[in-house]
Amino acid sequence: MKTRFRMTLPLCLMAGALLPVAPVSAAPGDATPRQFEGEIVVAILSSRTMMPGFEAVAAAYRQHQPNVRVVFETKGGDAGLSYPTWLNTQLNTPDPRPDVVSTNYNRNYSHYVDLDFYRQMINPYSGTPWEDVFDFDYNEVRNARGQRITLGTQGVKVLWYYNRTRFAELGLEAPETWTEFLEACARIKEAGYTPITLSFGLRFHQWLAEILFDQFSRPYVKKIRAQTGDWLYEPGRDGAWTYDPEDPDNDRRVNINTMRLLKAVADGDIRFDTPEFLEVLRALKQVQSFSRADFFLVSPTDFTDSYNLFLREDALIHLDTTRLIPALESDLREISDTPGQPRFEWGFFDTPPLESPMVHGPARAVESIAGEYLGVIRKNERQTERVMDFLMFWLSPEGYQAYVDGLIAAGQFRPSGEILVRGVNLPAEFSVPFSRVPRSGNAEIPLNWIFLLPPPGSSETRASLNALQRYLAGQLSEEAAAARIQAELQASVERILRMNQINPFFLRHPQFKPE
Amino acid sequence: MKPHTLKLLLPLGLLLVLAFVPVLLMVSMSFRRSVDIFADYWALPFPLYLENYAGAAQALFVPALITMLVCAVSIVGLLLLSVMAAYAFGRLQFFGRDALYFSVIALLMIPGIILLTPNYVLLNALGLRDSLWGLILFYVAGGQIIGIFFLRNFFRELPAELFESSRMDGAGEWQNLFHIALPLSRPVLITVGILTFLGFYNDLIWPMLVISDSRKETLMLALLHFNPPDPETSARPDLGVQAAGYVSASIPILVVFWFCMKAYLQGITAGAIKG
Repeated sequence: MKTRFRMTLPLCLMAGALLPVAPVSAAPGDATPRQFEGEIVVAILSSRTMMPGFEAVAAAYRQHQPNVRVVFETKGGDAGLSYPTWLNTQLNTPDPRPDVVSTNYNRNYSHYVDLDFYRQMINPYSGTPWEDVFDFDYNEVRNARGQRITLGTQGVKVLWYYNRTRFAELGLEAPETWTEFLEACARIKEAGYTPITLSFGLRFHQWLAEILFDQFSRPYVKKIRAQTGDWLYEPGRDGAWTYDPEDPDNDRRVNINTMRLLKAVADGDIRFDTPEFLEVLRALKQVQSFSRADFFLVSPTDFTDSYNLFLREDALIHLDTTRLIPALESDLREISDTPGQPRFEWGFFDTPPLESPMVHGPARAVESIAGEYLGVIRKNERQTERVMDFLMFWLSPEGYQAYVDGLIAAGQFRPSGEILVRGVNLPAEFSVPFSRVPRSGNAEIPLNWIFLLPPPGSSETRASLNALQRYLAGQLSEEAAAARIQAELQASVERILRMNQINPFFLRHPQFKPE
Repeated sequence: MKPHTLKLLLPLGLLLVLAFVPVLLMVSMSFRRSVDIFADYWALPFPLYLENYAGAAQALFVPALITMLVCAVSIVGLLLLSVMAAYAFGRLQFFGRDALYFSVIALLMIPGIILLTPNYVLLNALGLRDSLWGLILFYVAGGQIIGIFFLRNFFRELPAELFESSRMDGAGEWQNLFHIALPLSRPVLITVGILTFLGFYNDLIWPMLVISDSRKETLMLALLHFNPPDPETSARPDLGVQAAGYVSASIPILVVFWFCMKAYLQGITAGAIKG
């Protein structure tokens, strides 16, 4: 299973969604690449199997920049420990070797390039503003300073996969409401199957919690949007914005002030102990009750194991992302007793909406980034220019096409979702499956992070998750669990500021740009 | 067998079985096709699918050789330095001997992860990035502390008369070291060698920092990237070949233990009693 895939995981920088586009010194019309020379070291989280793609994009870049040597170093197929340790060591040295790294594995470093600065610049390899050929807006994740430090090359969406053959035998269809979902699970359980393959991992306490909480948290966007006088306020964009919870992209259409988010959490204006949040906890417990009890607490990194349960038809519903679509069909054919026929028919559905009167908007999905996670270490102006030139090439139709073609030729192209570089031509086998998945809006925004808001591994994260676990185990009431989570998240703001070296002044005065 | 003995043995036996389950699973998977593993994880590996090992050997042979080379040179180097330092700390009298010894031993208290960054800065300054010497020199420097600790305690416990009579016959300290102390310390040397071998062989983070060129990869680095494509499906690695790689990588350690177990236990015991 690809370990590169981590969705927003640490991706996640602390807060800030929908920040604005920074002012840019574009050079409109000038599409001729400047000539550079020197070396660029790319050391993103990657496996050796991606090397044919790396070599192809390096060769294609050499056609434009013959004096630049691009070195790809594959670091870590294991995102759990080795890559973050390697990256942290590099970033702690005065002279880090790599130029391009997977910045989402250390979000607190202060010398990353803010990629928003370049999005409106003319990409010399497409002749258009970079944002015209690369979908910057698919996922809006920034660090605590509001900088965009990571670009993902593919977009993935979280889906519920189901065994359509067994569903039909049981007289079930894909559920469209939360009640129907629970009824289907109960019916599956009666029939002797495990309804859901979840365990207490990120699929549960991150994705599902975000999707559920998102249905209640919509109004909070009014508290954290850029206000008049804020450093990032854009009259044309923010002045014209209106709150519309029915619009799945409503929060994408306004600039979000990260400091206002942190301030709202610290001041208790955004809360996690409300009646709405208790509904989220209850829904999580309902889902847990339909997972296998012995499996639920076993593994936090359960993708392979839970996928196995689904393939073997022990469980009939599996939560995963679009990355599964190309694999599932071929896997089912391989393990089928009938040659050429899949073991069972399958389908997918979006998370059914909750039906509480407190719900503010329709259910959205987690729509996050995957593929290659790319960010740039700021060394000096000359090197930054050189590296950004390469990154613009890679994330242009020509560069990413070369990368994809190299992987396809080696039989190693395994997309997780739609390609975020526009104008890349893919064989139908890679493009058609994802085109069947409609977008439904992204629930994975900082407002909904809950257990992602505090720094990963911090005491606040551990204590919050522990409160959730104890609630699920019946050791805490829902009110007590929510109160604990509220207290931990409120307390985590101070740690977030400290780790990002942001003066508390900016929390008290969120209108200023945090430096 | 008495009932209370049985009561004791049963849980111990159960623990033993549980300890071996992951290993047995790894071996079982290494003889199965990847797709069969996904279809039925617990099934037995019949018929045996040996092609996994061909794939693993092809990918891991050179990294395994490099690893053995690095381990061998490092262990020889650190044993040589450890023996000399431990002899000085254990058998010679000089000003500040104990203070120096304890300051060296204090380094054992520093978690390795904390040393990564300063070591890496030093490595850069020495121009050893992407060089096997960057592994070897740091392994020798870091590994000799445990060697000094074990050997110094052992040398101190050797009878003083041995060395005194040797000196009376005109032997110098080098002769005492190489002709008296060293031959007697074979079990301790093997113990130190095995302990450090395990550490060097299984090290992942330091080689990952030092080595950039894939042609110089150690075995653990190669295993980290060992993600062979499954020929039958397109979306995941070949679990069978991966498991074969893991099994193959475990074999050198088993071989070393097999041949050195007796001396290793002697060395550990000697350290435990005399230290």
